[in-house]
Amino acid sequence: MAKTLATVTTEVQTRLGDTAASLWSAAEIQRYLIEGYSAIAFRTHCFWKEQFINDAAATANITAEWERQYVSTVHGVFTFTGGTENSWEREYVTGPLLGPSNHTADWEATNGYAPFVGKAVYELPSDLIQIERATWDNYRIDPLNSAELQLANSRYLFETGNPRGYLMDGDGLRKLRKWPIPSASATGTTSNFKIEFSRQGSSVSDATDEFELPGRYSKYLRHYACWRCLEREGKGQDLPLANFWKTLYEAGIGRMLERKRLFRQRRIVTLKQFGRTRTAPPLARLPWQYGRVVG
Amino acid sequence: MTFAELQTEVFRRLDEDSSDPTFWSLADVKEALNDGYEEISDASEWYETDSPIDLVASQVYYDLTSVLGSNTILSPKGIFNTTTEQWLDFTTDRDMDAEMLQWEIVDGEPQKCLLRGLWWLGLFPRPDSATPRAVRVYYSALPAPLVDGGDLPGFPEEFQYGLVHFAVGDLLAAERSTEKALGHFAEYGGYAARLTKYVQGRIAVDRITRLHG
Repeated sequence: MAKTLATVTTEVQTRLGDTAASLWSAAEIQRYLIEGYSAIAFRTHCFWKEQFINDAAATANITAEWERQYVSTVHGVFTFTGGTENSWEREYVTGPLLGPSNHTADWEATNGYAPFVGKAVYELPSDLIQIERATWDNYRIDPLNSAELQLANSRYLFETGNPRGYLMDGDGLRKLRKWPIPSASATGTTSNFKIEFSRQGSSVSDATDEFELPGRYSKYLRHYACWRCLEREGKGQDLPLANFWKTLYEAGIGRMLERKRLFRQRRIVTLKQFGRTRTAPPLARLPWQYGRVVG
Repeated sequence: MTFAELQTEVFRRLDEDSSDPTFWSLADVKEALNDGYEEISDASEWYETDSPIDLVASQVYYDLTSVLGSNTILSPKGIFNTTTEQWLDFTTDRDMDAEMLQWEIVDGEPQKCLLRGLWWLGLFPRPDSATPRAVRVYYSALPAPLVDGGDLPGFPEEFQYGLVHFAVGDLLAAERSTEKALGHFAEYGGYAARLTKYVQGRIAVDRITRLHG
């Protein structure tokens, strides 16, 4: 059962022998608990999620970031219009090149009032740590980097079609660029673009918020907070004991990683079980001793 | 040793009267013992159990922290398809992608399983809607906490003193008797390591295979 921030805080205070919060305030302990919670997610990749980032038309209704405050629903930012990314307007834009877009509301594209211009760059979910897998129409698509794509195809920024890969560089840190740029919106259950990723646990800030970690793992948070409290300078500092709690916390992290590793280690690989040929058939060759005198 | 005997042992080592403690309360001791029980169980994964999962048509992934009935799973050890009476092969998403295109939308009897994150179980093929399906998950888990005086820890008695050492260390640490506490924690560490070795070394005798024996 998941525990609340208040529950784990009380547990830490009991372990520290400071239930009156005279040495470490509840707020300080809670900061450490949230820090440990985030560290567990980043180090073990224990939280997992799948989410659709579906192909869409590049709707945009503001031309600069400062305009956000004046628009009730922001669809996107654009600084040039046109049908493709190599629109002639690019040459005349002095600020950042954002776009292109040719309509300011989704319904304009849905109802066919504007020719379809696919959106290439998508914002990633705020809780994402690392993308593990991406699919388009349930086909796995490959992660690419801009340098290799630039070598392979100089016009990769303008190509349109069904996405076959994605890039995570060149457009900002938490952005994903589909390649090629989608040429149609996702419809129903087909042509969906899905990412599967490790993520941070659900947000915890109030005392009544529950950690997403199961109860048995929230004790690692307790170990982390005890370590940090006893380690920090000031009254109550106890480095040998801090080191002990650190050891328990690290042992817990190690167990989580080991559990993932053991599952993967037990996997059974069966070549061609489901009939997909991954390599070319072997070349026909003559027997090695053909034409020779074998002694 | 029963839970009551473990409590008495902890009080004795703390030089406290178990019937009328003055410094540490009975609740403190019980909590510390259960903490130790949880920690040693987490470290050694000695407790093994199983639960069924009712499958949902066309659903690939199942959150093991919610579908098993009790949220105590540490790691899955085996998955059994109760319809085909076959154990599922362990695989990974990368292996599946290498073997087959669009494997996530293949319906049928589950033959393989994969783990995403630490507790999302994926099945391939995903269950079809023809009939209700279930798989049985065999897994290591945390045991139920010790509650009544007569409750017994589930592992052999020779390792149960580890709980006493953890509890004494935990209580002394709260009192900032650091040196003594660390000594007890070190003792506990030895018990935890030996229990882990005992759990992993259950098959200690090598097999003698004889044909036409």
